[in-house]
Parts: sequence; C-alpha cells; structure tokens
Amino acid sequence: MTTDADDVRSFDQRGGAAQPKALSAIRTIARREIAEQLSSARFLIIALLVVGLTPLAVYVGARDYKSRLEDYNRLVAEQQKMIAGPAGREVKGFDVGWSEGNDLAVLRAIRPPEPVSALVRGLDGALPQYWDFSPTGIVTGPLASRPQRIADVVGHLDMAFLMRVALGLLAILLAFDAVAGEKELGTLRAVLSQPISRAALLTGKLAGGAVTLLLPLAAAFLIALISAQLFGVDLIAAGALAKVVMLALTAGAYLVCFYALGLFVSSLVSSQKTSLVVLLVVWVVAVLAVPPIATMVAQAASPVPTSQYLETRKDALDLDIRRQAELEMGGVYREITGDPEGNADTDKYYKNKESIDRRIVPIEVGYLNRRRQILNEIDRDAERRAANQNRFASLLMAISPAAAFAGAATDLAGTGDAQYAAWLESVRRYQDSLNAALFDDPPTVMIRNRGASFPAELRKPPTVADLPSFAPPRRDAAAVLSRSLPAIGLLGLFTGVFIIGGFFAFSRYDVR
Amino acid sequence: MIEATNLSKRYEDGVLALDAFNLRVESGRIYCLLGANGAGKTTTINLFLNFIEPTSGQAFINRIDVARSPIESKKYVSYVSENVMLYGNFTARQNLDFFARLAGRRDIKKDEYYMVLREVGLQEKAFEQRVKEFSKGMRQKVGIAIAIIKDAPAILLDEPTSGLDPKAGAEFLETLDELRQRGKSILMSTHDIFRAKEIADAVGIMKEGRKVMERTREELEHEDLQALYLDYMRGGYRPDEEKRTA
Repeated sequence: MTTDADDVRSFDQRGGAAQPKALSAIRTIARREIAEQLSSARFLIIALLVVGLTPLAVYVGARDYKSRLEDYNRLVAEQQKMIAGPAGREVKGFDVGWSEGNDLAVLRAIRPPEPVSALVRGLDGALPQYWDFSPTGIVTGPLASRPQRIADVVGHLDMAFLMRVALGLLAILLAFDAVAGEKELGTLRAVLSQPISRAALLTGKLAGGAVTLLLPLAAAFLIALISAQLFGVDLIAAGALAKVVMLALTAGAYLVCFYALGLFVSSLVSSQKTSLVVLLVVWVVAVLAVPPIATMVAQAASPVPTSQYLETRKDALDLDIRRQAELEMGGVYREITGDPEGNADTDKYYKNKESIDRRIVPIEVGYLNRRRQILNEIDRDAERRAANQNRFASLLMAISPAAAFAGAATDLAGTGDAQYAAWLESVRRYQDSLNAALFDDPPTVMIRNRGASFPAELRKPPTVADLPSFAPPRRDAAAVLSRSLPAIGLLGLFTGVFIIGGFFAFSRYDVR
Repeated sequence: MIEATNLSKRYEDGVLALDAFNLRVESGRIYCLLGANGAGKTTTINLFLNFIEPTSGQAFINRIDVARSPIESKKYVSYVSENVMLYGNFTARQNLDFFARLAGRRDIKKDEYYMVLREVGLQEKAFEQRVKEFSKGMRQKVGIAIAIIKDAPAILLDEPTSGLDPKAGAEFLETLDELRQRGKSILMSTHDIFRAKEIADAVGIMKEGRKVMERTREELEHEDLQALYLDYMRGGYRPDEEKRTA
C-alpha cells in the first residue's frame, strides 16, 4: 500500500491537478458559458429577431434621413441663390414678420440632418429645420419631420430601441439562472469543488455572457452599416463611422450592465424562478416604466408653458408696446403732415420724408429693440423652464440604466438633447452677434404707416460677407463624445455597482 | 489523507449540525459515514469542501487546513455528489474535459478521456452523447470519471449509491475498490449499510451531529452492522463509544 506522502508526491509529480491559473479557469468557464448560451433557444430567438429587424429599422431611418436631407439641400440651395442675389449684396435688416421681400433668409441658420439618425433617430426629426434672425428676435422654422403619429406614440424602431429593449431583455434572460440555476441544477457545487475561486467563476460567467451578447450586437451593427450603405446613407465616412463605433461600444457596455445586474440578482436568490421574476420586474420598470414616469413627474413638478400660451403672451406684450409706439408715431405724423388722423399717405410721406424719418426712426428702432428684448426674455424664460424640466426628468431617469443608455446613444449619434441644447446655444449666440452688427443699428428701417410702409435708408447696408457667419455646433465624434460623457459615466457607474454587488453577493452565496 | 479535528458547525439559526467531529482517513482506505437524514454527514462533506465555514475545529485535506487554504486544499480532493449533476448540453467527454481543465489538467487527449470513461464502465456510444439523456447510473459513472481524471489523492462521496440499481451499485463498488488500490483516501457518506459493510475499511455512525460509533472492517467481522446501526438510531447518544475511535 502506498503512503499518503508517496501518493501526494506522485500526484504532484504527475502534475495531476496543478492549480489552474485564474486566467485559465476564467477562460474555461467563459468558453462553457458561451457554448451553452449560443445553443439556447432564448438566445437564438432574440438574436435572430434583432438581426432580422435591423435592416427594417435602418430602412425606415434612412428614408426619414434622406427626406430631411433633401429639404436641407433645397433650403441651402435657396439660401445660396439669395446670397448671390441683391439680398446677399445688401442686407437691409427688415423684420421677417412684415417685410415682403424677406432678405434675412440669407442669414438663416439651416440645420443639416445627422446621418447617424438613420440608426438612432432621437430628436433629429423633431427639431426645427432652421432658425431665422430678425430685429425682433429668433424665429424658429418648421420641424424637420412631420409628426409620425403612431410611431410617436408607441416609439420608433431604431437601433437604440433594438439594443435597449430586445438585447437588454436577452441579457436578463441569459443571466437570470447563471448562479441560482446552477445551484438548482447542482453543477455549482461540482464546479466549486474544483480549485478555483468564486471570483474566478463569476468573472468567467461575466466574460462568457459579455462575449455571447456582443455577438448579436456586432452582427446587428455590421448589418446596419451595410444596410445604410445600400439604402443610400454613407455611414462609412470617417466622422459617422467613429460615432457608430462609439455607439456600438456603448451598447455593449449597456448589455454588460444588464448582464451584471442579472448575475447580481441571481447571486442574491436561491431559486432561478425568483431570479427571473425579479429581473423581469426590474427590466419592465427600468426599460418601459421609468422614462415615461420620470417625464410625467417632471412635467407635473416643473411645468413649461405651451407654445400657444407663449405666442399669445408675446402678441399681447407686442400689442402693448406697438400701440405705444404707434401713438407716438401718430403724434409725429399729425404734427408734421397736419393730418388729424395721424396718417401719412405716400405723397405726404415723401414730401416730408426727411423730417418724418428723423423723428420716426428712433421710435421704430426703439420699438423693435424693446420688442426683441421682451420676446427674448419670454423665450429664455421658457427655455430655462424647459431645461429645468429636462434636468429634473434626467435626474429621475438616472435610476434606470436603460434611460442612461438612451441618453448616451442619442447624444453619441448627435440626435440627442445635448445636441439640441448645443444648437440653441449657437443660435442664441448668433442672434447676439447679429444684434451688435446689424439690428441694434439697422441700415434700413421700415417706416410704418396705417396700411403702408416705407423704407428709410439709414446707412449703407452690409453684404452677407460683412456680417458674422453662423457657427453651428460641432458635430464631430470628439464633440458628441464629450456631450455623451455624463450618460456614459452613469452607465459605467451602474455597471460597476452591479459587478461589485454581484461579486459581493456571490462571495457569500450559500451553495449547499 | 482526510482528517477532521474537533470539527463543529453551528448554523445561524442555532442548530448544531456537527459537534466536535474527529476523523482520519489514511491513504488507500475507505471510510463510510452512516446516519439518518440530518445526522451531519453532508455538513461534514460541505466543511471538507469549504462550502461552509466551521464554527470551530479544523478540516484537513492532505494536511492542508481547508478553511485557511480552500483553493489549495481543493487541488487534492475530488467530490462526487448523490446526484451527479453535469451540463446537460455537453457530452460526457465535454463534461470531463471541462472539469479536468478546472482542476488544472490541460492538454488531455480525447483518447485519454475515452479510456477513463471506458474504465468506469460507460458504454462507448454514450461518450459523445449529451448527458441530459443519461440515466442516474450513467451520470454517476461520469462523476467518477471526473474524479479519476483529476487523480486527486482524496475523494469525497456524498451518498453516491442512492438510487442506483443493483448492477450499477455493484459496478460502482468495483470502481471504488480500484481507487482504493491506487492509494486514494475515500470518505463516503451513505444510507446503504450493506454496501458500506462490503467496501469500507472503517465505518462511523452519526447521530444529531455527533459520531456515536466507529468500527473497523476487522471489528465488523464479528458484529452485525445493521443491528448496531438500528440500535444506535433507536438509542440515545453514548459518548463512551467514542473512546473506541481509532
């Protein structure tokens, strides 16, 4: 009979069960996880669904993008034509509202559609096509896309939706039984009777789950890129491709986040059924309930006046100051022309043009500047309220990794709220620079009279080239990345918390 | 070698599952733990595998304190549970490969796996079949094959013969005997008095967390193990019996 010492010595000499290196054990666990998951029905069904729906989602997105691009190109062509014409050579600075030949369209800030909106629609279709700048302030153009009533109600099917909803669900379904299921099956004891640490086991599971989830994700993005190319949207162009790659990486982080959540919950309970129920409830709350509830609560807690209300308020204030200005003007007309009604017909105006202009112009310019200031204050106040509401809603949504991903995805695609805020900022800056260069000291003022208006030339009108040019917000990959960092950071925080929570829970998990 | 000194476990709910348990299983010996459900047999095995922490005392595998160096100690022990649970979508050979890799054994050829599966009596046609189609006896054979491929000096078996048909049970005992011949220290918990008597070099009876009796194979030649077992189960705890511990 051999002795203990002999047996152990010979065991060690054979290299019998040399303790596996942690990395090797992790790789072994991960490979098994991948093999198991890839052959599971839940993986095949959802992965095929996502891969199958991707071309459809891209087709719809590409069509929408292309129609917005056509509108944009048309508007730019019209503007170029105007710039090359008289309006471009002499910017008189007429108010948009009551000038017949609106020369201010040469200064129009036209927003190009974002190519990556073919994948992640975001707000791109719901923002204005352009902004005009006038002596009375910023005038917002029509929305880039027509409202799509059904899609606006139930949500748009785009890549962000497929990742957030379908692959998010897959992550949960792959992870719910990772620990509790193995405990029920009995394999957890068998695995943990081998010389590997619990941390290595969970790391292997996390790595295996991540690789499994990244396969349909990578396939979907590859198909999306090919589909977009086929449907006429070039996303291979350097800037767009960088955004798509960042988008795919963030989607990957989101899936790892949900998988880590699944491992965490699975390590907290002893039954896979309980794990599944808990995770499905969390998924429904995080993906489907939190975003609308957060928006609703923010709307209730921090209301924003409706456009109709703002317009009515602006009209009422405008009416007030205009009436005041008109009364003053009427007095001047009466005094100069002797007309008891305070009117000046064309003959009378041109007969007394010099003295009328000298006295009316300050009233008219004063009215325009005052009006611009008041309307600007109303708009700023409304924007401040909207921003507060957005901030509040974002804060409430911060409890959901799905909302964090939605924010990160749209911001990375250049179709999110951060991009909208950047456009508003650029537009406001441009209005300020035009105020200084043009509107505060207008070259031409329309002298109004009841039923008629007469241009009063005050100085030589500048050309478009003389005026500051509009600086649109940066849309390059670095800019969208910096705007997305808060949302990406939040997603990273969730992932970190779930991973640490999972390791902590599994280190204390009762495997009996 | 498998060894326990004054090993105790009290659960959080206050239940004393194991009370000052002592044990020593030398190389080339089979020790059978008998006892009713809840007697502390599985708790003992859980302590040797570090699935739970002892309240006091120590468990050693190959002279390594399990609680202090759990991963190191698991290099030297194989474990076969009552219901050997394997990954259903993997074949017998793939399961073997998976657990061998976890045990640190890499670069094992397919033929070597087949050889071990043959050794435990699994039919050739089942080698590359998914184990979800396997009977309990077949899974048990794969479980033993996993222990053999690891080739660890200590083996823990938790009621391995429960539910096996007579033929499978007999084959299982043959395999155990073979492992004993190779110098393995084997600790087996079981309800099966007859198989315990047939295979064990020593038998311990547990009751309410305590080892109330221990007999060597030689001693049992003159005693009826079944009668002893029933006697101890009916009667109370007789600590004087512990003095007979080898």
